[in-house]
Amino acid sequence: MTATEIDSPPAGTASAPALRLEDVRVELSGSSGRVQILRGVSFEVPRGQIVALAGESGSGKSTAMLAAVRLLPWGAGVSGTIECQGEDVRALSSRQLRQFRARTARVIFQDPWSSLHPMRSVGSQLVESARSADGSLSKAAARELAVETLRRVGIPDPKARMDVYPHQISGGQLQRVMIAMALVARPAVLLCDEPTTALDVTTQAQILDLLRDLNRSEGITVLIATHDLDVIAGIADRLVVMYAGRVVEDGPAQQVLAAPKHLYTWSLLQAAPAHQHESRLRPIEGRPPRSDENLPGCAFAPRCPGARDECTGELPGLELVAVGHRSACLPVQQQKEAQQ
Amino acid sequence: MIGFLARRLGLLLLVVFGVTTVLFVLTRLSGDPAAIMSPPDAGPEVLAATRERLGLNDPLWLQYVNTLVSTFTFDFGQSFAMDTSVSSVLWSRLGTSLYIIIPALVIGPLVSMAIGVYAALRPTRRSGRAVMGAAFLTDGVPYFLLAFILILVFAIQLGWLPATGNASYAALVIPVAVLTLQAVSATSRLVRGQMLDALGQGPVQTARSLGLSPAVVLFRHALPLALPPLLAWLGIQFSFLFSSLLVLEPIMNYGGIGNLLVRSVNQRDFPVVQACVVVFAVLITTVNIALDVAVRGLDPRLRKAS
Ligand SMILES: Nc1ncnc2c1ncn2[C@@H]1O[C@H](COP(=O)(O)OP(=O)(O)O)[C@@H](O)[C@H]1O
Ligand SMILES: [Mg+2]
Repeated sequence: MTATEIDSPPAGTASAPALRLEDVRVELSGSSGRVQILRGVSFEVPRGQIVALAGESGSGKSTAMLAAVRLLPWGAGVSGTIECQGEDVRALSSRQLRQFRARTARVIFQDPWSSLHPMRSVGSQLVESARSADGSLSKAAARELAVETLRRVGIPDPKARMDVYPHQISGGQLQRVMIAMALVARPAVLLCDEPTTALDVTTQAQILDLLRDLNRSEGITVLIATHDLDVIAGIADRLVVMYAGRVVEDGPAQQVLAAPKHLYTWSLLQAAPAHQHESRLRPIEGRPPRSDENLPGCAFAPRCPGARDECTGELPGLELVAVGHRSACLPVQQQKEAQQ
Repeated sequence: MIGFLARRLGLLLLVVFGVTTVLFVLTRLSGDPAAIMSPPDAGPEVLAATRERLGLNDPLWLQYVNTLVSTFTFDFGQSFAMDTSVSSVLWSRLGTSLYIIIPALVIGPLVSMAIGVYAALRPTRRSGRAVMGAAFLTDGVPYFLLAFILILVFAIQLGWLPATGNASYAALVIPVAVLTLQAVSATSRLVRGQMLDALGQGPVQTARSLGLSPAVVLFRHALPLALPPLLAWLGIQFSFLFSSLLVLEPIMNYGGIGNLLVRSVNQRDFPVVQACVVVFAVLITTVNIALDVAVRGLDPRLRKAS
């Protein structure tokens, strides 16, 4: 069974996933011509869940997220299917796309310092965000909503904070402001691109708690990109592991962490044998392939402790290896076949 | 903000003080000030009278103080060459120059902004490149040559515009065009670069992700990020503009302050020279202070840092 054969209800129905990428390929212009950044990415984010998009830096997490809201740099070549809340994102007109970004899917970027506008007050940016989503909102009503939302994301003295400029508050508070900017729009989906990477450990935990609370209380679907598996271990429902522009494993978070079905995920976890005590994973030996390298087989094979000859020969597809758990690891797939 | 303004006004006073002092020293170094400040063919009685009138018999420090007082009160006395007070001729000539300075200062930046932003939005398309190429054409041409070309074509060949003078509004067209064109090439390239940079920055990506319209993203988010260096450049352009007046106005026989200064230097009409130089210094400094204030108004990070 291959990825495309997994039963998924047609788009537009209530049970359709909040976000679905299927065979998404992205080409960007690098310094040495066009390079393929995403090489056929397929995964789903079920409604109301928290899904972590994990992988070393450079594996294409940001690219996948930006592709989902069509924020890739000008000239990007995209193919495949991207559906969000029943909408075919790639087919949206520019008007519809603005509506979609304003109301349906909001993005939280990695670096809050360079995401907010340095020359405009926190309040004016919140108000602008709220009114972008709901044009009928008056300025006063938007301000009220902004203050209330700042309070909800845990900003003390939110009224006074409205008039503050981004450089006057801490990174953790800035990231809360970014989250508030998304929440005023009451989006269905929150795409968080390494939302805590730039923050200190304590603040990281607080921001993740906040995201989980919002997911539980509002039912907002959350996709979190991270290169740090520990960070999301506690809050993610599902885990999608990416490597070199492809999804290599995808399954229920606890199951993937306890019994990884791809040697890459396994290595990621092994690289931090004491990962309860360490906050970051130690890198795996070697380096990921560059985006302009085209390996015929599994992209991880050159670094893989359990690679076989076949691994470098042909590309393994993403196959179901347990209930709701897919893997693109040849040794794992062969082992499973042997058991049957 | 008040401390900042006070410091800038202090700077302005310092500039005027410095310019006056340099001029004072130069006149004392370059021979007999009475000879310099008298008409070239003056006899001994005239020189003596000048010496008396200029207070050159006073001790040096008192002369210096008097010079400073006359500068700071903008009272530069009588012109040698013209039968009039310096201030009356100064203000009327400055007024005449403003007829070409102000349009150039408005049109130049606006045109550059339009070209630069247009090109920044189409960095790889032919239309964007074509526009920048056109702007680049005027870049290598010195502005006095540009003036000759425009005069040759529009005044002499086509006869549409007067070749020289400042008698009519039509006569303003060529000098304004020259001053505008010489600024547009460099400025539009700077605008393009700054806008391209701003469009790639995080805050602009955030603005796009909010679903705001392209115009709002461009003007409310990207432009403010691009603006501070552009305003600083505008200050530099403003001083360029004044130095261009010194060549352009004599060429075109335009009766403005640039022409006045050049002629006064040739005629050794020293009080007028001193007055012109002080006015140039004050204007350039004031405009730069105003732009500084504008940048601070724009960027709260600078406001805090003061
Ligand atoms: N604008 C771009 N042009 C060319 N290559 C890019 C661009 N942005 C990212 N890349 C490349 O795409 C790959 C994936 O990047 P990214 O999606 O940011 O990964 P991640 O978020 O997982 O760290 C990297 O190898 C990176 O160098
Ligand atoms: Mg990234």
